[in-house]
Amino acid sequence: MTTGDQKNRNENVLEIEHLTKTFDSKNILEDISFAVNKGEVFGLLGPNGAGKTTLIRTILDIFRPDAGMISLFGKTFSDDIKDAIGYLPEEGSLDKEIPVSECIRYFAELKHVDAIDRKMDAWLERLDLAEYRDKKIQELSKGMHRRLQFILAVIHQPALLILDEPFSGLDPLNIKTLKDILLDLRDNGTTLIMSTHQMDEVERMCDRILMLNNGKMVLYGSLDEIRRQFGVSIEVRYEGRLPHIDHILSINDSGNIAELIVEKDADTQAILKTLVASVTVKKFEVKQRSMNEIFLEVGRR
Amino acid sequence: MTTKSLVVAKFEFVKTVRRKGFILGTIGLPLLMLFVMGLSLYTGAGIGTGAANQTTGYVDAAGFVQAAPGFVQYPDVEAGKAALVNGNIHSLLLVPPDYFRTGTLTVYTLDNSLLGSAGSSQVVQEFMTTNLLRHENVSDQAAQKILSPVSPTVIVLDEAGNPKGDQKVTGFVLPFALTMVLAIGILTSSGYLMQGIGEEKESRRGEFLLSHCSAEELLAGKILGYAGVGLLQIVVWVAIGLAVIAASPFATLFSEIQVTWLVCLAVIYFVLGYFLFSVSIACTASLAPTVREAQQVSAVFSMFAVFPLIFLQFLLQDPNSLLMQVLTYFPYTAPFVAMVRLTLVTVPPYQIIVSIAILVISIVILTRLAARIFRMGMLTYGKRVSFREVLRFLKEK
Repeated sequence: MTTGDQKNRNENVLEIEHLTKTFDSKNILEDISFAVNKGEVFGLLGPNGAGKTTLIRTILDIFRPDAGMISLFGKTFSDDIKDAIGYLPEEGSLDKEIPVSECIRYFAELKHVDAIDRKMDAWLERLDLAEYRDKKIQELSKGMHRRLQFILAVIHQPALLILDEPFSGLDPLNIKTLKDILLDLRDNGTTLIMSTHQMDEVERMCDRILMLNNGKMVLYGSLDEIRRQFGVSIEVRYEGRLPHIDHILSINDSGNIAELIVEKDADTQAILKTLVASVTVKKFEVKQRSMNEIFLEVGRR
Repeated sequence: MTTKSLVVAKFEFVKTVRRKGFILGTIGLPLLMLFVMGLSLYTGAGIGTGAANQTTGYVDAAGFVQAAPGFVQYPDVEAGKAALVNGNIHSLLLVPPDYFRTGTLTVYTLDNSLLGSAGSSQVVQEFMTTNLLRHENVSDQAAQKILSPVSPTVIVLDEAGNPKGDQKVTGFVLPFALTMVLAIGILTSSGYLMQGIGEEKESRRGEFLLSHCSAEELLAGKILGYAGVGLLQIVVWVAIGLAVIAASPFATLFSEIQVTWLVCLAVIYFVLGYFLFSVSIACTASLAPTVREAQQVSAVFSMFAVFPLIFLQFLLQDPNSLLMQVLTYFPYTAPFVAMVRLTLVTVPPYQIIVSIAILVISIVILTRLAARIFRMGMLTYGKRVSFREVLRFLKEK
C-alpha cells in the first residue's frame, strides 16, 4: 500500500457527531459519534432493536436527526450525495409484475446512471441472472431476488454502500460470490457499511465496527482494539479439581475441559502456575475472544 | 418537479396502463356498455322480428273499439289466438263486455320478455285512450293534445332578465358531463394511486425507494403518473363517446360546441380536485397496513364525489341554498357541487372564487403535511397507525 493510498483510506466518508433521534420522547439513538474511513469495511452491530435501522435511515436522510451532525463526503446531505450512496435493505420485495430489466432501468434512472444497458448486462452476467433479463420478477427464486436487489444497490457505482444483512437468503455459493464482489468494490474505492448478525463474516471482512445497544454506543474501534478490551479466554484440559484462580471473569467448566474468561491485562503465566499447582494440565491454550462471544457479552449487559 | 419525479411518473404510468385490468376497464368497459345499449335498442325497436309481429289483434266484446293502424279486429278469442299462434299478430287484446265498469282487459301474447311486454303495454294504453276519448265524442285534435299535452320551449334568462346566449342542449350537457367525467376520473386515478402505494407498503419497498429519491419526489411522481393514467382513461372514454355521438342522430346537437367559461371552470376544478384527492389518498394508503384496509378508508373520499347525487333533490330544488353554498366551499365536495350548481343556475362569482381559493390553499397545506405522513407511513409496517402517531409524523422534520 502506498502512502497516497494510506492517506485516502484515512479520509472520512461518513462522520457523525452527537447524533440523537427521538420517537415519542424515547431516545432511539443517543449521542452517537463515529466516523467511517474511505475504502474500509465498517461493521454496524447490535441486537435487534438496538437502533441500527434507525441509524441507517438517518444516514440516508429518510429520518432527520433531532440533534447532532451528519457529514457525508465532508458535506451535509444533498441530492448529489444521495446518488453516491447505495443501499441494500434487509427486507422488502420488488414489484413482481415487471421484468427484471425494467426494474433495473427504473432504479438506475433514479440514480442518473448512464449507459444503463451495458452496466445492467455486466451485473446480470456477474450475478448469474443474465437469462432472467426479460423475465418477470415473480419468476425469480428468493436468492435470485436478493441478487437482483444487490444489483439495484450497486449499478450506479456508489462511493458508499450500506448493506443490511447482505447474506440473508443466499446459499454458500452465492455468499462467496457476493463476498468476492464486495471485496472487489472495496478495492476499487467503495466504502462499505455492513449491518449483520453473522459475526464470523464480521471477523473476516470488517476493518472496524460500531456496536449499539439500546440506542447507545457500546463498542467502537478496530477488531483488534476491541478484542484487546475484552481480554482473552483460556481453554484448559485437565484432571483433578479446579482451584480458585484470581483475575477470572467467568468459568465454563465441563469436568475435564474448562473455558476461562480472564480479565483484561491479566497475567496468563500466573494463571498457568496456579493451575499446575492444583491439577494435571493436559492442554493450556490462550485465545483472543471471538466477536460472537463479545457480541453476546455486550448484548447481555 | 425534479427529474426523479418524472422518472417515477413514467414508471408508474407505463406499469399501470399495461395491466390487463386497466386495458379491460378503459376499452372493454365502454365497449361492453355500448353493446348492452345497442342490444336494448335493438330489442326495444323490435328489429329482427317480422313486420306482422308488430300488429296487435283485438276482440271487442264491449262494442266501442275502432280499428287503427297496427291493430286488426278478430270476431272471437279463438280466431285471435289462432292468428297469434300463426305469427300474424304480436299480441291479442280481449276487451270484455264489462270493460267500462272494471277497466280491465286481457292480453294474450307469445312474448314473455320484459321489453316485449313493456313495449306492447304503451301501445295498448294509447290505443285504448284514443278509443275511449272518441267514445266520449272528443275530437281527434283534442284527443291528440290530451295524449301529448306538452311540447315545451325553455328560455333561460340571466339576472338582467335577458335570454342567455348559450341555450343549446350542449350548454348544459357538456359541463354536466364534464362533472361526471371529473368524478369518475378522480376516483379511478386515485384508486390506482392508492393500490400502487398500498402494494409498495405491503411489500416493504418504501425504504428502498426512499434511498433513491426523497418522499416529496416519490409522492409527486406517483401523483403525476397516476394523473396521466386517469387522463388517458378519460380521453379514451370521451373519444369512444364522441365517436358514438357522431354516428348517432344526436350528432347535430353537438356540432356547435364552444369552449365556454363553464368548460374552463370544469377543467380548473378537475385539476384541483384531482390533486386534493390524490394527496389525501396517498396519505391514507401510506398509513394503512394493507391494500384492503387502504381501500376501505379511501371509500370515505369516494363518498364526497357522489355528494351531488346524494343531495340531488336539494340541489335541484334550490341550488343556491345555504347547504349547497357550504358544500361549494368545502374542498372535498367543491369540485362536484360547484360544477353541478353552475350547470343549473347562476352562481355568484365570489362563491366560485372563494371555493377555488380554499381548494388551492387546502392543496398547498395538505401537500406539505402529506410528504411527512407519506415518508413515515411508508416505513411503518404491519400495524395500524394511530392518530397520535400521525401527529408525531407531522412533527417530524
